[in-house]
Amino acid sequence: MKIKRLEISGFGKFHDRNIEVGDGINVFAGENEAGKTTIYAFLKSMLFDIERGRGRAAAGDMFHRYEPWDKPWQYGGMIQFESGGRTFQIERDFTKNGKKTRFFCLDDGEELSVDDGDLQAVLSDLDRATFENTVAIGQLAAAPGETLQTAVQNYAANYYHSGSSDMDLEASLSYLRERARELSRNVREAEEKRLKKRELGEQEGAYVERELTRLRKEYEVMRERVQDFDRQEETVEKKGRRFLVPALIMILFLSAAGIFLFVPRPLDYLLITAVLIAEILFFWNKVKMEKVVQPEHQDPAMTREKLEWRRERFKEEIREKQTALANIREQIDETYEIGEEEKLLKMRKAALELAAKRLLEVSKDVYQDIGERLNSRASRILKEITEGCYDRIYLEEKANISVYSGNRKIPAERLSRGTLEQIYFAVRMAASEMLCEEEFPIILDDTFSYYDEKRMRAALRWLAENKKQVLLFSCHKREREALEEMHITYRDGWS
Amino acid sequence: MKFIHTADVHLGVRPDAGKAYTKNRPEEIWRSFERLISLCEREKTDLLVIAGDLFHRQPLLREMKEVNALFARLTHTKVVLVAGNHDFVKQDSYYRSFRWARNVFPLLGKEMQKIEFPELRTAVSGFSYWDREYREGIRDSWKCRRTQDTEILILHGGDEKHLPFRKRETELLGYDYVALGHIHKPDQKEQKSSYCGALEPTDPNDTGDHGFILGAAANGLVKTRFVPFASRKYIHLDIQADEKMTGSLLRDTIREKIEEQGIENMYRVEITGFRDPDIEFAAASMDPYGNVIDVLDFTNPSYDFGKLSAVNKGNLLGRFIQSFEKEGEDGLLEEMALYEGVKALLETKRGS
Repeated sequence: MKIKRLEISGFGKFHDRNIEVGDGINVFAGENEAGKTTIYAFLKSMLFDIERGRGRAAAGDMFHRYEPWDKPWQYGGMIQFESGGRTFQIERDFTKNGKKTRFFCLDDGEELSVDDGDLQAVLSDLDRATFENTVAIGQLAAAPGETLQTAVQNYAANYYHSGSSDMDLEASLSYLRERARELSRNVREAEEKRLKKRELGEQEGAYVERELTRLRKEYEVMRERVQDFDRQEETVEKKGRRFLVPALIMILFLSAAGIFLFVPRPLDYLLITAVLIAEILFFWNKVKMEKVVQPEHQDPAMTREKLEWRRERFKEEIREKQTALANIREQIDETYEIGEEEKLLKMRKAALELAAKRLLEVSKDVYQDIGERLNSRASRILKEITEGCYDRIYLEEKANISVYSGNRKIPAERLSRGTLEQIYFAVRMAASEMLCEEEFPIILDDTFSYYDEKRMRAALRWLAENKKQVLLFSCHKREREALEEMHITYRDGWS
Repeated sequence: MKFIHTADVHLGVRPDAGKAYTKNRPEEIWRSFERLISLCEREKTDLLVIAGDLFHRQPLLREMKEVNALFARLTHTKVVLVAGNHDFVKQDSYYRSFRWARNVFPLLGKEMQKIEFPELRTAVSGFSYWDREYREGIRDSWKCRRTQDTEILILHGGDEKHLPFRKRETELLGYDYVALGHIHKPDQKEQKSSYCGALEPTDPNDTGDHGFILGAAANGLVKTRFVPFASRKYIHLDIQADEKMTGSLLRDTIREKIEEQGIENMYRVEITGFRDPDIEFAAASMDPYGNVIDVLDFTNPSYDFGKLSAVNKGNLLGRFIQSFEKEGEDGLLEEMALYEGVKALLETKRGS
């Protein structure tokens, strides 16, 4: 693709300004505020439409930045470019309720449609991001918290592993990690809900178990008391009824017989009666005393039936609690079953892990297919613009970049800013060649500020020899002077 | 002869019923059973058939006393019940020793047994579970040997581990009506062999109406009808998302649908379809009435894979998409991974 002509009807500070763009190097030199950035923004807006932020982001968007302040009703313009041997024209009107965008082929006048993807087809799917990240080269810029050296490393590593200017493998992976962390939190919450249920079950179970122990003790006490009762009854019987009654009869008989033999009548009858009465009274008392004395240490009201009834009650309660405990255990077991929501969350987490794993695998393939070729091309470019000083770029695991100067390996942190800029330039040039089917114009925005004279000249020479069209924006005169000294023809963009 | 066929009451169960209803749900299920008993009394139902799983677990003595007291209130109805897989007759089960009211006739034997009610000209056959499972199928010896005008058979089971059978087989046994239990979903169409379903739904998967089966037998002909009776329903809300769906819109949609179908019911929300890639739905905020059990979000960002794949041919994104086009990469997990990966790549694009 080649840019032929820009017509600015209104954009930023420009009004009714036409700019012809020729083959080879076009230099737009000028002081700050000369409008170099505006031309670049206009070019992008013509090709990819103007960026409009939504909501709060609107304040600083391109639309507001380049809205003409003196004649806001005139906002837009036209671009002519050549692609695939045909010349096209795009006209855009950025004003509110402005005219519809027109896109047509100048060779046959065929009207094309931007909305239907005709423009994308003509640009061979170059999009704004690729344009900004590949074709247009500004100064090496570091993201917040990033050194220039890591910026170059990340740029190259990403390029080599994604085969694309705008994709960021590391950022994607950490995005996935962050999502997985978030999901882990949700999974944990779901698990905690389930654990809570289990905990409640376990508490309940522990309570019932304590009750059971208590009941078992009580039961044991009751059982022993019933046994005691029986044992005592037995001893009373042994001592009392079994020996007492026959002994009593014997004594009665003997005393009666004795009186009969030794005491004369009629006194004997009287005596026998008296002695017998006395004896019966004595033994009666004895038997009664024994019976009362024995169970005295226990509750006299506690009959055997009552004790037994109590014992049975405890037995029943124990059984009830045992059943309850078994039920609670079953209930606890059920909390090991995972709910639908939790299952889905866990699956999502597994999906994130699979995605990350797959991305890494695929990126290795990309590196083998694209990264290595890209690196050798970038190395050659670097060698040319450093006039053989550095002949190989080397990208290690973990994206550590270094360059070889002969057999000497120099890590990136020991390189000057200028050299870092040159590595960056080389990688981008290699990428623009490899990743865009059609060669696009190279747009350089103050790219050479940190280059020394020698390397700037080498870079300019490389551009003149290798690139069909270059748009060079600069706030210095040094590029023009160098081009003139090297007898390289260039075009003054402003003319 | 009028009868009611119920089963799977699961007294004692504590199902998830959402923030608002979970606490009182066990009590509610008891109350529902009580209502059923009152209905039997009011309608002078001759026979109440309970086809297993009256209790959710091993019944406690006090629970049995509670149930028996309810049965004892019935002045007209006779109750026949069997034990199912949940309340199976364990070694030391109270089922073995409990003294039921005079109108209760439990069929607690391990083998098929029959009880006759000559005054109703009806006989009921059935057996109880003595174990958690019953893996054998229907036996020939269970065939109906007619002694009464109306012969009813109670069977609990119908899946692999619980008396595996096909309904057709049970119909061929020759009974006038087969009262089935175990499966919670009721047969709402009249059949000779029917599941009455759970009296109340006891699990979020027990969706739709629940109740009992009302039957009448006359001249050897049994007519039955399903009667919805449960106090709440589980409802699965399917919500189809599209690119215009936002979090607040989704919340409003869910609220509206819940209001439409009754806030007394309990919901599982399933969101399917595609969503704007920039939007994530926050499941936690989708429960306006405390009756949402869970929210399952199956939506995917609306990516045009054909186009993405074509535009990114050869690079990381294109190859990533391609890697999921191979065989064996079409499961739900892989689909999720594909969407997640693409999302990660697009979200972290430079200059976007």
